[in-house]
Amino acid sequence: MLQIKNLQKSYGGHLVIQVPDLVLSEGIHWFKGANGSGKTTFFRTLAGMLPFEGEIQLVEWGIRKQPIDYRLHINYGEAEPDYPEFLTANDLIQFVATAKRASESQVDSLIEMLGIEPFLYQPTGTYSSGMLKKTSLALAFLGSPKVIILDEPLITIDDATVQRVYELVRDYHAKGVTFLLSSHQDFRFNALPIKQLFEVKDKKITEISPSAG
Amino acid sequence: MIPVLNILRKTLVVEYYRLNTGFLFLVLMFAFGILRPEDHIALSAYVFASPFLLGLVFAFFGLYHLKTIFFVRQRLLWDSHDFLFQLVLIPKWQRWLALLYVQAMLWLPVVLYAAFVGYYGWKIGQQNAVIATYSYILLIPFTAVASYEYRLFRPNPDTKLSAFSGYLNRRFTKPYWSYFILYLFKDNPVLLFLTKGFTCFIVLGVCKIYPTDHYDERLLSLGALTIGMVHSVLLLHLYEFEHLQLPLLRNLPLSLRQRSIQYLQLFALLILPETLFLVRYLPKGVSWVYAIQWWGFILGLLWLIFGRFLQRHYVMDTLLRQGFYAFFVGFFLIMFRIPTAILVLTTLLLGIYLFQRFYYQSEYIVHEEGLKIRPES
Repeated sequence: MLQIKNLQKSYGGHLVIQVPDLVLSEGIHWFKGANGSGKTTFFRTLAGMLPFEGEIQLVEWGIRKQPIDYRLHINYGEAEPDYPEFLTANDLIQFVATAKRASESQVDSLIEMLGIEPFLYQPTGTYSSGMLKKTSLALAFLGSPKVIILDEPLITIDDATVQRVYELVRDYHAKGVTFLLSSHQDFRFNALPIKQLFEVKDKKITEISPSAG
Repeated sequence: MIPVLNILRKTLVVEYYRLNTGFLFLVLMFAFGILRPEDHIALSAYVFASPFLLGLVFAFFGLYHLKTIFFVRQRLLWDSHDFLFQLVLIPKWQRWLALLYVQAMLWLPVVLYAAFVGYYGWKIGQQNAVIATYSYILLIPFTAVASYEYRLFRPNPDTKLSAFSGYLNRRFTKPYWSYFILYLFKDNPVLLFLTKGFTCFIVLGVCKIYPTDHYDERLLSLGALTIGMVHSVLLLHLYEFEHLQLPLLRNLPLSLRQRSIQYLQLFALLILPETLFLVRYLPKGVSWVYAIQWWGFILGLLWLIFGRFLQRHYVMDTLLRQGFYAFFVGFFLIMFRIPTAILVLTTLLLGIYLFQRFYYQSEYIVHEEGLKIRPES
């Protein structure tokens, strides 16, 4: 599904993460790591949001050779989303939905499922962190992605929404979507069929056994 | 009283000038780099003789005044500046004097410039206009004192949503090209209006200063060059805005062509006021073909500057240095009569090349301290 070769990501000469060879097959993958360990940088790099050295390929689409197809099939939900405060959730959702070629029914369904309707037309500058998180989750599920990356998807949202996120992940997973998730808390993804568990530490990504998690 | 003034000087006055070095440098570069002192005197004679133009200059100074007020009031919203609210504990007249001191310091560039041109205005017999100008210059800082006093006694203002904006949000979805313009209106209105006021004034100035039989188009080209360079600060904001507030843009499946069209729309919209001013004040003898080239030259400069931001992460200091050199290169190319069409093509092609080459390579460099691994709490 996702092949990563010789990936190196640095900021101003400072190496943050390197992945010599990693193949992620279809399924739900959990990435653990301390704050600042490079999880978010790794996720953002996979999402095509940061420059890097190396190669990344999603199914048959290379991130550099087929940048549009690649980005059409990989979505990303921020850990701590922050949007221009004058935009509403509706503005953002419609904008991303158009780019990701999402149907109106999918948009409506995500808005309803994540409970965005009450603040859909309010500027994001008035949102709580939970409302921002719900908006970013909705954006991450838009379109027909093959891979959805969710960085700390369960922080700042209430328990009812957590259950709905589990539900969404299970539904999309059943349709063949691969997930890359991150969370600090060990217990949070127990409700999901995790295929592989990785630890991001010392600028490397290592697979660990679920019992070690 | 002295300790209070010292604190205000360090937290507000020095900070204001430190953060606005770039802006003031660009103004100085245009005001005294291109225009000679005689031109300033000639321009002031023209302005003092026309109530309309004098009103425009008052409006322009007023925008600068708003910029200073906006800066101070924004600082008062910062948690790190909460201690300034202790000012309410000192006697009223001392507080007012302290606030007046702050505003007078921020207002100093306008006072000095007005004193300079006012001296010559007085000498040529425009006493009434000069008195009006000085009265305006001396009285307007008191409105800032009132504004600061109001904020000091009403900290942490609530954000209220109007029913009208609620209606608009329901009725319309904002198009992408409007995001940055809305950001400027919302977060940097004074920078926007001051930049636009300044650049429109440049268009007006270069169209009206030298009304000769054979208009030298190089003057208009120099105006276009200045307008393009002045927009560097806005483009730096665009670069930061997209990287920091809309990082999701780079995850969207849009081709570089689609993205180019979006930027083209945005840039054309950004320079719409200058375009309208040129159409309105185009000097006789200057062809429409040249006017289109003039527009294309500014557009090309915007592409080139934005392309440079994508190519390399700039901070304001580097931007200033590069902008300074670029301005002089452009200045000599224009003075040596390099055809404007060639300048248009060069800047556009180079800008679009940099955009295509570096769009996905561009990243906002964070401070190295932020990269260190933090222990789990």
